[in-house]
Amino acid sequence: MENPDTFYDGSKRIKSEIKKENQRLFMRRLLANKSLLIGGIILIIIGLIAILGPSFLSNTPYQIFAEERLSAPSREFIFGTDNMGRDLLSRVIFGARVSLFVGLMASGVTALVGLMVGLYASYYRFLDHILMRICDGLMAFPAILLALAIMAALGANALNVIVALSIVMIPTVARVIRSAALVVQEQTFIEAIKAQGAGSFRVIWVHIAPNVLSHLIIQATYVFAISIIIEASLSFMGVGIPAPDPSWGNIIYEGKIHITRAWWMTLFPGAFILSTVIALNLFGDGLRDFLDPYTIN
Amino acid sequence: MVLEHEHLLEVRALHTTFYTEKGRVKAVEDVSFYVDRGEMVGLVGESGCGKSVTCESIMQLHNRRITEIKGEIFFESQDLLKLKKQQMRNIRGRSISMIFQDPMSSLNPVYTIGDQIVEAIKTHRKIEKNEAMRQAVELLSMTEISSPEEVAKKYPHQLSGGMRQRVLIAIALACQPRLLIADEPTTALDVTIQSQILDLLVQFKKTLDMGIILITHDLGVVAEVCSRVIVMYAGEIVEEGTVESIFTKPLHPYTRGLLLAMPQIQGDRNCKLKVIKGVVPSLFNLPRGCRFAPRCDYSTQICAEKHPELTALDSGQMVRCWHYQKLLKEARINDSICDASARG
Repeated sequence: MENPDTFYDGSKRIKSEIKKENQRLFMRRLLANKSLLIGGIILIIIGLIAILGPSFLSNTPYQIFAEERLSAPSREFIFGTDNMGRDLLSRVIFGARVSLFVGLMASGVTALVGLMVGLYASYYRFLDHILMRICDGLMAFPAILLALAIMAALGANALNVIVALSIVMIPTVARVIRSAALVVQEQTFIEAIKAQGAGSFRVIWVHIAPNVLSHLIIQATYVFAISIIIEASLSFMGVGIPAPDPSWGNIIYEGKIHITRAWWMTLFPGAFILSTVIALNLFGDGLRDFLDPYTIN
Repeated sequence: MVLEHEHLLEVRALHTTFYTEKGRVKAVEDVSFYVDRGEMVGLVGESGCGKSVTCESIMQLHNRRITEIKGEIFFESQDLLKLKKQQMRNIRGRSISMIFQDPMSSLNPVYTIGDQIVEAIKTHRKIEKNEAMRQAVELLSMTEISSPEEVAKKYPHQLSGGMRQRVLIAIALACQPRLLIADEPTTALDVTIQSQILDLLVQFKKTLDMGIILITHDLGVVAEVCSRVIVMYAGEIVEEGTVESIFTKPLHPYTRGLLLAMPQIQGDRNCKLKVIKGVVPSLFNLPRGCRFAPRCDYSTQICAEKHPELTALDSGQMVRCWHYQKLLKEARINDSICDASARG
């Protein structure tokens, strides 16, 4: 009785019922995972605002209403206007596009390079020493300080923000992937695959990489969240996304000196940063539980 | 000594040394043996005696940076140790395959069984994916797995241990290797599945004319399926011979100890099993003389001082012991089992 199929070998009807049952179980696990659900919903809403929002706007983020400078939220300007008389709602929504784009790109580049560095460091001992010492060096600096230095060297624009963020984040991801990959490599199937005559490239990319993918996805969501914060911080310090392009960070930066008179310039972009970062962290935590088979009860 | 290369595999004076952080470990020392086509050879010994290291040295699966392999490994008349990395890769899986001890972790959890067998096939042969999948299912059915088409679509965690071991055998046979190294293939399985898997190996040995090295610590398994036995202890061969000679007149006290430690179905049920006292010596700190001396009932002054050589007897049996003649004089082991345990 070593064939589990004996239970399944009934008619096609039973098979489709089992499939349905599996789908039900999947949905139940998904719904039971509150943080994944809440985080995911908030992210979808913010994503939709960033993508679809601009088509509902009557004002562009650059249009200046000189007489309406620093006016409080009203029916005409729902989020109020900034110190130059630009529609804050429009700027925050376009800022969402910039911030999310930068965050997404940074986490994508970080995940890709981090995966590569982590995998090769775990596979080749001599590369391990070199790559991990470089990572140690990069991690010795506070993230913001390092990003600031890189931005100062490269100059302020969106592309350089992505580059700076990636350099800052790669070491963390690389280390997580390296340790996960080391665990995978200790398993017999890697030795078995080598015994089948597989080359190192196949072992690394076809057999180790898919087994560390869940770690990578989870790390990518955290990197996304931190990227948004660091990008906002850089813009706040004036080395991030240059004016007049809006980003959440530089809107807050411009609102800083008017905070006593125009709280809305700080509150609305701040609220967006906060909710996005919380949602990403919730989503990452939820994803970790969801992808880890040991948390199934 | 005339070089005879007609054996399928001939290992000569194999030394495998690991350079670890704690120091140098001679895991395998001066091991020589051969395997012919259509022959199953048992490699026996307790944990840590170098059985697996010997076979992994043949496949050269160790990290090259910390491992030194010396000696000669002739496979079909070419020395595997002289091959380039790429040439060795072509041998692995195609000419020599390996089955590992733990079927639970020997399959990649993220791919289906079918995909993994297809990969094994496509590593060495350029064929269409569909054709490879058809062959994969055929291989599965050769291992007498029920509903192979269904199994091919499943993931490893959906299969039982016995089924996974069958899948591993299918993978090992994918390219019809001439030599199969089975590293404790039945240790993790229960007894009924064990005998089914062994039957499979015996069957494939015949139909494919393969040489098989069966690594095990189960002498019962060896008696059942092997023609010759090599007994290893602390990294070296202590005795070698046909199954019949080893089981009826073991000449090394260690082999004898292993046999006495085995329950007998026939004979006096009341006679106690005899244990071999002590543990395998650490490879960092081996005894100067015979490595088995500290645990041996027969040991004398010479055993502690001088390391015995592997001596070949007229019968073809080989033994590494100063006192083998004393053991030779004793009667057939089966007769003396109860006497020995009564004495001890």
